[in-house]
Amino acid sequence: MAASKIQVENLPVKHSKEVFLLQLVSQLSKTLEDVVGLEDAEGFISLVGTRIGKLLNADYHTASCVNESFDLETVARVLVDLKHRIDGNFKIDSLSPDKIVLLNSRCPFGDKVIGKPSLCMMTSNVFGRITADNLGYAKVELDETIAKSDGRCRIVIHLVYEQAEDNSAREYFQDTTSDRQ
Amino acid sequence: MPIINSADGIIECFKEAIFICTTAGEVVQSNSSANSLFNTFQYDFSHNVVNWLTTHHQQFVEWFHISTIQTGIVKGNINLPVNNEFRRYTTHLCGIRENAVTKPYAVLIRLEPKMRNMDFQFQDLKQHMQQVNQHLKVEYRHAHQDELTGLYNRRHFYSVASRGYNNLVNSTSAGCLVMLDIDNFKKINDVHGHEAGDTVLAQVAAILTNNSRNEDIPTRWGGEEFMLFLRNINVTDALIIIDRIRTSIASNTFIYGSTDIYVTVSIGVCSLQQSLDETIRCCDAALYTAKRSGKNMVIVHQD
Repeated sequence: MAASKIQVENLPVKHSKEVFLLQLVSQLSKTLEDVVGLEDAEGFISLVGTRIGKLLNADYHTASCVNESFDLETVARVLVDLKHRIDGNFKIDSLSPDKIVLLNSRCPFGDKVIGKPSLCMMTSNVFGRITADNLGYAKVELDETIAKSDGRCRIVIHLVYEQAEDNSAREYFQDTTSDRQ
Repeated sequence: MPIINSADGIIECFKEAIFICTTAGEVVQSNSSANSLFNTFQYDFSHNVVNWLTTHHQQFVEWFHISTIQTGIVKGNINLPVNNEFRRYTTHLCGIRENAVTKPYAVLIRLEPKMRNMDFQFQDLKQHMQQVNQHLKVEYRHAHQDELTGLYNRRHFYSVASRGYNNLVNSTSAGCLVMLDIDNFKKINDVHGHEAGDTVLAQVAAILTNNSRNEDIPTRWGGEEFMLFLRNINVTDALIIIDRIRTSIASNTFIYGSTDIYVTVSIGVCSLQQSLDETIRCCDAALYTAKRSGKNMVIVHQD
């Protein structure tokens, strides 16, 4: 029986530019965690997260033609929207002057995030930077995360100093030198 | 600056250089390691340390700024000049707050030297491994290549040809084996000497290589015999290549010193049989027929 040549072009391999970039980020992050440890990896990733947070904040302001800081509700909607645009599934669980609580059932990094908690530092830094630059202060608690196999993310962003209970959570302050506005 | 004052004894405990500076870049605390390092750098304490470090690494000012607008460690690598050479340091920056509800008003900076000695040892190890790999490559070539002709030897032929042989046999254009033998080679050696014989062998090998494709395996089978494994080709198309090889050799003038030598080859061809050994046997039989039938010809084994 004659065996036909394998048509590699038609194989159902899940590979695309998006998949490649996700794998790239995921593997870079994993390597960073393995080489320098989680805490140090977070130290490096926070630089990236801060830059991206500032860029996104500027983008939303430019696109909405708003120069002044966003209000609480707009900030929460921006955080949900920016995740939606990269295939996350965040929603606002509750909103009050002292905190924003967000829930997420799908990570933009997909299943590749599981076991790579340093990637959550991206979310912490992006959310923290955007919130703090608009509302003055943010303490981001990663209460539950898909990365830690909790099955969902529950992110609490405290807006008032005294309300923040988790001492290990990162705090973000308004960057008054920012050239956004 | 109460908290900074209380840090005095703590930072002295660290072996690596640690210092605290205000958000304006003024060094207000430093341990012995930091002082010693600053001396080596010839850093003047009256200068803004952030600006000074930024002259060595332009991102430093950004790391410093980030550590004043958020909590947690910010990290980055920086090269600093020590004793006329650059050394790599990992910098850890952490904002210091006066109380729980204020932004950092100072930054603690730690400079941790990267393990230069280990780096050098690793370089040596890497170089050594490259030499080992190169040596293995040469060894492999000697074990798989015929020194005189540069063609693969029989060992290599078997290791490569048997790989995926069964899949190839079952495909529509499997391929074929070609066995060549130089006619009357003994006479060339007897008349012109062994060196002349070697020259002929090398030039026949060159013709074989020049007329085969990348996926083919031209091999010196032994003595004046050669084997060519043509893959993914039917016998009809293969015969075009094979006859081109035969006529190229027959029309070539093999030059040895001032002597022109003319040679021909007899060729046996066989399409791939169920096993490699069987194909070789059939090829050999076809070659024998070509020799008996008058030489300088191609005989295809009939199934």
